[in-house]
Amino acid sequence: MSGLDAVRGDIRSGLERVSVPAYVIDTTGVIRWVNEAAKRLVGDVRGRQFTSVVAPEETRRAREHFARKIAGTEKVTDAPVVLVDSEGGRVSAEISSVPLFEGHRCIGVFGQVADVDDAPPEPVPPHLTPRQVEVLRLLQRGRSTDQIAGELHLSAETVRNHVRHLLRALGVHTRLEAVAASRGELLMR
Amino acid sequence: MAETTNLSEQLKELGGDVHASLEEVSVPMYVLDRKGRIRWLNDSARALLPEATGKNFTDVLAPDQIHPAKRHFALRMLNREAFDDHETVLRTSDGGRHGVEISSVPLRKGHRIVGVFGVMKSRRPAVDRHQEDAPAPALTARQHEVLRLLGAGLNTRQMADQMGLSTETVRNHVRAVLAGLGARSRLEAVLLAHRQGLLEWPGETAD
Repeated sequence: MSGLDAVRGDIRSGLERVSVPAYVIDTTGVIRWVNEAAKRLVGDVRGRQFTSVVAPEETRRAREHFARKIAGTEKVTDAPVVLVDSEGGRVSAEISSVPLFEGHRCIGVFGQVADVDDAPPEPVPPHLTPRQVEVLRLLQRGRSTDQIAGELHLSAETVRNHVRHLLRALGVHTRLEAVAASRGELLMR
Repeated sequence: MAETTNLSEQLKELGGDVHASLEEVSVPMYVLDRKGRIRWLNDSARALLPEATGKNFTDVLAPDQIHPAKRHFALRMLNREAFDDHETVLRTSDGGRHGVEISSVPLRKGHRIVGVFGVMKSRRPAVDRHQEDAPAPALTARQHEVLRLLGAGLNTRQMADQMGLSTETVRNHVRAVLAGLGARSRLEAVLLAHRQGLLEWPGETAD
């Protein structure tokens, strides 16, 4: 029961027109609804699998979050994600998503783009594993070991292992160097 | 199957308790009635503005924002001004100022405007929290030097050697840099410094 139920006026219609992108995905992962702002950001992607809008190196993490919400084991996901628009352009965004219920049954996921980063996402070194890319993305956003562990649902020790392998793969010694290397000329060595 | 004409109809047909989802998503949202009274806040907005439900929206604005906000609100309710995205400053419960970017649209029942539905857009992650136009933190020359070396990826030992200081002194400087930038880790400090133009990435030129 939401306090919104008592509000006069059509909230869905308001949601359609605010400039904050919003979407609904059904339990099979198909995007069933987007608002106008979401169309402007990634195009009219209704009918497509949501993973087709997420950068390839991030689809695994996105799928895990999605599965946990459908299963009812995760209530809110606040996570950075790199989106791919209809022309293949990449946009870095922060997304907040929650399950959509009908009675007690989860019928999908509702999400909103809380923030769009003006700067294009940092390039991904080609020789990293998907896990290493995920860890690098989170380091680029200043996340700590514990925060990364929380977002990836891993133990802090496992995250430290991934970071160690990431540093080795990039040929650097610190997290800071990893972030600098992944975006600067150091990558071209 | 009938082709639906507008998106909100389509959302209705999908079913599901969208209202309940809006309550929980981490994007602050609100509803005002025609008189400007706050009729609804979701969890995220309530965290920002506790106890605000039932008050007038001007009660949660910084004093310098109240007059222009009232004027725009009145014009919009009369349908004489379009709803544009705009920035405003909230007065937080501890008396502080919290800048937000707002996207709001008229809330209608039939053709009548019965209020406002709004979304606050500036929920930024830790690294982005400092706006570009925020004044650069005042760091001492020593702290700037430490920041530059941090940005170059040096560890405490290496900084101590380079600066001819003890590691303990370097750690003190690092602590002061972190505090000055509002960062919780060295990595976050460097990312914040880049955002504020205090540091440049390799290969980047100043503009």
